Amino acid sequence: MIFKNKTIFTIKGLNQERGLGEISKKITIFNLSKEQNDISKFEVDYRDRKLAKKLLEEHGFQIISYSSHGILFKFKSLLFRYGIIGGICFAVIFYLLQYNFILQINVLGQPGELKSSILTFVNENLNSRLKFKIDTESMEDKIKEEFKEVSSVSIAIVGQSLIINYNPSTLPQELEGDFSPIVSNYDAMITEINLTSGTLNVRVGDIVQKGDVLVFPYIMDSDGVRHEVIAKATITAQVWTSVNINHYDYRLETRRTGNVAIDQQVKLNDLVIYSIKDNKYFLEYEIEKKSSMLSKNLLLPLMVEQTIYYETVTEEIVEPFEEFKEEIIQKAREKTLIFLDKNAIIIEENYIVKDAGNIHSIEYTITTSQSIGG
Amino acid sequence: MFNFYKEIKDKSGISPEFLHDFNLVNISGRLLYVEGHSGVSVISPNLINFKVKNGRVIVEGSEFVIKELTENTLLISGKIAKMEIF
Repeated sequence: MIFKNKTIFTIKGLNQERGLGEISKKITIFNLSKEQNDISKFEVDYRDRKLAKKLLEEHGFQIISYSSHGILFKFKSLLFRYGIIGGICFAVIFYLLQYNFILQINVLGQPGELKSSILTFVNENLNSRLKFKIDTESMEDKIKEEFKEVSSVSIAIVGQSLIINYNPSTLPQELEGDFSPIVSNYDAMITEINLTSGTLNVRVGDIVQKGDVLVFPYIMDSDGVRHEVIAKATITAQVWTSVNINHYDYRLETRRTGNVAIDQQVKLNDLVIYSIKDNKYFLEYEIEKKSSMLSKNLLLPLMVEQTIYYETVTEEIVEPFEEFKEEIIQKAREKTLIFLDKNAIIIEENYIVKDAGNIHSIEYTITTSQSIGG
Repeated sequence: MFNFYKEIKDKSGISPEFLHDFNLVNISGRLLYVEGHSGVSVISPNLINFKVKNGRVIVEGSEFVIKELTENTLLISGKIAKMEIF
């Protein structure tokens, strides 16, 4: 009967009666018949088939054949077989469908701003991701129109990728870019010139000031036609860096003693509503005032004002120049060194002392050799 | 399978010690229903031998098929010629 779900076993082995007797204690056996002396055939319920198989194997029987019947078996079998077929069909359909779409866009070229700009442009201007709707020639024209720095571009659909291959414009390096002159960064005397491109405005031995043009960003051809180029040159010059410091033999110096007196006032707008004063009086003092709102969240604009009095004393400092000369010159040198470039080569150092009574002025000068074009 | 013999025994009022612990029903010499067997010893198309409490039963005939075998019931189908209890 088709609706009865059963599994038919044909087994071979010795002492089958004993073994089947043991098995029958756990599962019901149907239609048991001996085909030969050591071969038997029987049925079990479809749900017991796995247990029956296991028990038969445990009892050492050889299972010659094993087949299931019934609607449940058919259903499971169909489900399994058609499940696989269905899965394959679904996968094929899904693959065929998605194969028509572009999944990624690759831009081949030197990494940089242009590459990312092209990628963004294509992403924005791609009407559809469907392969057959993408007009590669039109897109090529659009890219060439949009990006002047692109000399040629080719677009191809490879698999599910849109490959964009572009070549940037190949202008000579000196003919592209920012055409600005080279100007001097220092007051200097030119010692060496190595011109790469452009027109020189100075010669070796010239003294230039900061801001003077050293090289113009153009060249003139034999016909007198001017061509713009990037001004490029290495110009070395002697640069003088000077620092001036003054020294006083005698001077008055005021310093704080550390004593402090604080007055506080709490005000509502300009109305003083609370005041406290420190009863200290100083002969000399410096004043510092601070004010702050009592609280940011208060509805009333209460403000605390602090007046701080720092006691000071004025002392007479006597430092004769001749005694401190070396120290002062060293200080002037250190100050001058601060203004030197890292790559500057020191050629010479000197100083001039100018005396004017109590005041001594030291001008420390360091002469360096360095590149001045910037 | 429905154990109707146990039902009859329970209702008969006869002391259980006079009743066997197994029951055999021969239906028209074509079917033999056994209740209370202790295991089948021999199975062949012509002979089936099974144990019962304190004895053994031999069924002879032809075209024997065990239609159903459980732990304590047995249904034999075929042409039953002879049945002996030892």
